[in-house]
Amino acid sequence: MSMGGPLVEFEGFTLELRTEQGPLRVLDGVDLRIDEGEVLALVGESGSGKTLCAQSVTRLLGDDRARCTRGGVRLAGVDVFKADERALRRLRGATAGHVFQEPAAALNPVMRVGDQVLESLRLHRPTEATRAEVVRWLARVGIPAPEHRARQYPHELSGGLQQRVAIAIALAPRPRLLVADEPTTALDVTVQAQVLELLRELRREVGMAILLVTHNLGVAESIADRIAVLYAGQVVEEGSAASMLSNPSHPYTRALVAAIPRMGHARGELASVPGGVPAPGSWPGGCRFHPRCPVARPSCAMETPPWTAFAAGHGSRCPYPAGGDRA
Amino acid sequence: MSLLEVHDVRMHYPASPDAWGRPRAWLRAVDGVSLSIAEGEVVGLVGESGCGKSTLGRVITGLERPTAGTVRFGGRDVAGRAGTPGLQLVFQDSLGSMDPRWTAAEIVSEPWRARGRRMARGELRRKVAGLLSDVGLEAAAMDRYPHEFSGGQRQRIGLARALADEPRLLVCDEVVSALDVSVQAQVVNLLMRLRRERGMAMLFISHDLAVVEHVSARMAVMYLGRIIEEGRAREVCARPLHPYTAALVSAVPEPGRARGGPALQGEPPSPLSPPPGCTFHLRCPIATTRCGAVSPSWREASPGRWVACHEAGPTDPGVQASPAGTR
Repeated sequence: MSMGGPLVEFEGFTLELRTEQGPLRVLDGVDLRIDEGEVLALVGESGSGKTLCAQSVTRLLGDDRARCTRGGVRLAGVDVFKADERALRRLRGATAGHVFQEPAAALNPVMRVGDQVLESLRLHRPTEATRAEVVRWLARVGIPAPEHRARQYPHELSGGLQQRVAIAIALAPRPRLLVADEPTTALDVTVQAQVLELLRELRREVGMAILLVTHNLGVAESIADRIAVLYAGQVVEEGSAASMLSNPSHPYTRALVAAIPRMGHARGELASVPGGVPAPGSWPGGCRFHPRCPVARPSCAMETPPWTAFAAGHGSRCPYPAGGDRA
Repeated sequence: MSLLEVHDVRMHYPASPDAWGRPRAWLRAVDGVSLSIAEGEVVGLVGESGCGKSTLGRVITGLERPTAGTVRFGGRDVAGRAGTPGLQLVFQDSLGSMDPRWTAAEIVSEPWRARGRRMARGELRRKVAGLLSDVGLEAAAMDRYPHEFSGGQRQRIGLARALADEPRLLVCDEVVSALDVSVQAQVVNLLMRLRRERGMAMLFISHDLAVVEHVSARMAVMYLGRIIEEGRAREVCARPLHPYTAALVSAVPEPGRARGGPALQGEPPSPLSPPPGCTFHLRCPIATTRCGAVSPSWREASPGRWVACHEAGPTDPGVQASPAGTR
């Protein structure tokens, strides 16, 4: 908070993965910012690069796997792609905690869950962490009978409880940012509602910022302040969660919103987009959405559309936004 | 006489064997389900993981022989008989179960080979091309291998394979769940078109309430091995009678829809030891003492609307301790 600037800032961030076939560009000129205490949802379909963005906040992909070729990412004022391993270790956990889609994969299967929370507490405050604090954290994330659960192993817990433990581990060091990558995707809808409610509560109480990665627009809208839509390695639209999905501008966002079946709406054809999301390495030239775009013009195949801001905090990478036909 | 008549089906699996391998408990995956589907009708089956909906799909298509109850298809007893002509199952990754060294043509024509139908190579390729075109794929796709297709394309090939059998009833188990939303809309539209053109009936199994409502005329909601509510899909979602259905509906995050009431507490109990009385009473916001003791009867709350709940809608006049889900 002392820095004044945003907590997270992506600036023209371009990332390449090392593959057997040579470098593969997976993110291309991503601009994003998250202020202290703010919730940004990053939405996109598979292959859009949303998870890579989340992993880049604390540079979880090693130099042997990924390289930033242009721009960069700053977390709490630190340029993470220039920082050394020691500085990164300080950022991971203490400044930014991570929660992933599969809680089981994030938990140590042969360690009692209470010990894992304790380890997370001690990692950043070696001395004073206590068992009582562990139990308080487990209770805080809504785990019933926390004293009992603390002594159990991950496999003895349901998916919903495992995710709560993973959230407790991520939040125990009181990070300023929680990076949550599809945290509710593996959960049933009623349990998903519980975990989203928990994240909203914790955010109110602790005042942390959240970077939420999700493919579910409804989840994004229900928790975020702002939403950024990613397509083929680029942010194509960004705006406030309260208004963007009811008034999407970019043809891709409009298509996504229209493709969701909704309860109580007319049956019949769902608006669908032909084709699929292009994989990295086969991105088309010009606007990357133009081969699937219902309103593409010949120029869209040639020119890379610039970012157009058309309202406070709302902008898109399409020069022909919404037109008269507001979805 | 319906096309499919499922009567009081139970599927219990032995669990936690003792030292002599004798089961100490039974996992009641499906615990007394009755369901009928008319010729050409689309019925949705919705529920969370572990509720038994996939097991029911496997029982209906003969992949599992039920512990008790009857399954009749076209008037014939088909319980435990896989490969009944006209009855096909498509699931989340149908191609995952296929030999990866088979071409799409070999996969699609598999039902013909299984039934010993021989045909000349030219005729076979022409028929496969016809099926691929029905599911929106080019004829050139027939010589490619599963790994060369995207998720949406693989699902289309799985569908083409099922269509080769000219099914009168297609059981779809989470067929669009793994797909991105823009591709999901394509496959949902495709299913609806195929159903119209071929007049086949469908059982559409999914955890996604909005998708189920979109495709189905009638829907059934499953909880812990039993159907707890059934009716016209539209009405069930708009005015749910059972408190569990109501919780499901309000938990669905949908853009532009205000969040429903507080999230449902807890998680479904284990099917190894379902609670007495109504299996939902421990999580139910309106449960009374009766609910913990007496299993609610399956009753018609209004014409075509069935529910298993003591408290829902018009009160239950004659309370009998009959198991839910049976008629």
